[in-house]
Amino acid sequence: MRSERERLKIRASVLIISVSAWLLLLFPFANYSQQTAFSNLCGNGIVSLKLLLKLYGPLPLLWEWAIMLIAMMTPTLIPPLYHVQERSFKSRQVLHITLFLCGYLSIWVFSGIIILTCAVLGNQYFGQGIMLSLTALAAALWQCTPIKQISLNRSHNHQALKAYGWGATGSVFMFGLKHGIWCVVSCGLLMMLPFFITTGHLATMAILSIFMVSERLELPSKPVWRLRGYQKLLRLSKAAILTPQSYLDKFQHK
Amino acid sequence: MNIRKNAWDNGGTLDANSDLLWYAKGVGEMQSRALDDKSSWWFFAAIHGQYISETDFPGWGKIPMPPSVPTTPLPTQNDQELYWDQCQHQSWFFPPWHRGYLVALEAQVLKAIVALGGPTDWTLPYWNYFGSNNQHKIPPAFTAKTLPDGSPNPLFISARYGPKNDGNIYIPIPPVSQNCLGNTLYTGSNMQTPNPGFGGPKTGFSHGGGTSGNLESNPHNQVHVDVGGSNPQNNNIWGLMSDPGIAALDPIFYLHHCNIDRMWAAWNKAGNTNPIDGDWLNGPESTGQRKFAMPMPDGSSWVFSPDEVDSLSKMNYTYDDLQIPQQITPPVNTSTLRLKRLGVAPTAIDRLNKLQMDSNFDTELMGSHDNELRIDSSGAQAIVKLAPNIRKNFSSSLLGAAEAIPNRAYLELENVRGTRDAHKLNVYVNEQLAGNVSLFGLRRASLPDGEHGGSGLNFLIDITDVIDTLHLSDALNDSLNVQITPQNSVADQENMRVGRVSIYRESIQG
Repeated sequence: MRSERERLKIRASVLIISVSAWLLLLFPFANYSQQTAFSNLCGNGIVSLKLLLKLYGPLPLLWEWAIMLIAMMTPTLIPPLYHVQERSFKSRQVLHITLFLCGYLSIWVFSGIIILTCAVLGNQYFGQGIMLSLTALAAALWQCTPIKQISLNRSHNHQALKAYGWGATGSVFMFGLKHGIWCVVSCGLLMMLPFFITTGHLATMAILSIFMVSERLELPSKPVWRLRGYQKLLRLSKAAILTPQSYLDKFQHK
Repeated sequence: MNIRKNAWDNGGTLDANSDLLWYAKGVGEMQSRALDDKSSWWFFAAIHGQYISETDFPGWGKIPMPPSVPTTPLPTQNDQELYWDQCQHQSWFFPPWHRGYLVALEAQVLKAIVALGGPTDWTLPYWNYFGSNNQHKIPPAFTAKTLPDGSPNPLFISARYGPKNDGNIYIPIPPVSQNCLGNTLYTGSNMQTPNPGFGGPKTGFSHGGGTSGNLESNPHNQVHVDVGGSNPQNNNIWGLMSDPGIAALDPIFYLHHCNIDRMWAAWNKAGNTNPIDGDWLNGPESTGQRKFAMPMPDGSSWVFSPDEVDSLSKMNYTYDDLQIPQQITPPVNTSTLRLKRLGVAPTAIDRLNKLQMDSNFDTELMGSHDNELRIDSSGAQAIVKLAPNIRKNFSSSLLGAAEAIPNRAYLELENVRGTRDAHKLNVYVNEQLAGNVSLFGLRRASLPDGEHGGSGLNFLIDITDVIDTLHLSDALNDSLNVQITPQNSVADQENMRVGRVSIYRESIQG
């Protein structure tokens, strides 16, 4: 059963966390080299990666990847977080939300290693320009495929969750894992793009984030070949112009 | 001002009720038009929902005749995306969207009727299945195979099987009821209104899936499945009214929805208000979602939002009867009866009633049966384990009913999925009948690539009375025995299952 008060708390918390992560990206507090680990890798190949790893180890990369994910992806998690909260005992809600996020982020961390490896190798052997063009083309094509739509549809499937004990722990973590898998299938190529953009890296991330959140807000539909992803943005923009007050509540979720 | 009248006036026959006779002629005229004609019967049915591209039933090409349902020529992609598959269910938009849909359909039928020489003041009748005498039966105009002039009757259809699947079409009352008219809150819950409210839960554009509002649950969903039923000779065929993607092909659909619209209007007339939330008033288009749009007889497209249709004073019609029946328990008496039953003194009852009229409630999970339940013809049973500390808090609230508003309890059937809508389930808690749910919309909500991502339907049943009874007989402990029994047989291939059975408690928001 839903509680509007609890849903409001979730929306507010997600927004605060996402905005905080964006601020961390915009205003690095640690030293220069560590904080812009990804920026250093953009457009660069194996040598840069080896140097970074030798100087600072893998943690800065993991940290920055996690901050990027939190900034960009958490708004897309509002509907499943509602589901986890509403289907859990009050005493276990914080635990279950954490488990869901762990399941979800673990897939993205694993995928991040693959994405980074592909990006670095691509830069090394093909160069930044070619990789940017190829990835943009692949992402645009992927955007039109039925599989893309299937992955978006599956992210709307909120399965029954167990409530008690280890069964609940497992079911919530698996829900996060599955959600993460479909998210990677849907957005993986898009998330690779910033690796090939040195100037405007953060701006690219912001644009992609808006795009991914808006297409996640779209309802499931038939998995067919078609241009997708821009329709929701157009309608949101139109609504923002025509009804400014209601645009403030644009994150309407079931 | 046009007045919509009771379809059972003058015996509900084609000979004596001219509204029904002209409706039949108007429907016939609209049925003669092509699928891609925005004024055709078929186009209008698809606005509600359609399965034109499906190759097996309920694909439109496999619907038993009559009627003969076309699947070509298809309208343009733009027209399909603007108009088709629009019906709002399991949503607070359920009442206003269907009101707009009826307005448009009525206008189209009227134009067809006038072109045939009929009256310019014709209005769509309503079927008040709660009316006296035989009004729970389908009006005879819909079972006659021919019109008075001997031509085929467009109001008669083949795929309409009734609650017992025997072709006898009537509404069983109870369990169908108009108790929702005793609610006082459109969205949410209070002491007079079980969750999720009279009109339905707050959603965006919602073509189906999730939890139905109280008006939608009963009588709307119940009547759909009672009229439609299933073909007794062929498990793979069910009645048109049983399934939202074919329901609007049956002419009785609009009379049923006219009655639902009338009930909403009566509820407002009794002093109950609609939401003032901008997200409801401005409709889903205001938040970047699909718009509500209807093709009108002059060829224009009527794009509307709930604030344009939320009162009969804004419409060009009214009803000849907008009274809430006397047998509906007045709101304050619902909670008075409960408090009396719990042993609360009259002075305390008065104080609590005044307090709770404006209260909002919050919910928490109290117990769950964690494993999926398969439902076959013999039904299914589940022991729902309650969390002892939460159950104790619940019992304490009942014991302390004189001091503070006692908690309420709900049973939720979560993620109910299957391949056929034409079912009703009886739900028992510790052998007491707790409620009856209709699975209208189930198939579509279960499709992995449907608009609800395959999550199925959720059903909320207010079991407060049952729990009170257990408490008063000292039989409320840390588990409940829940039995789910289908009213008709369930074939194995239907794969009907319930993801989880859970119990929630509702308490006053702090």
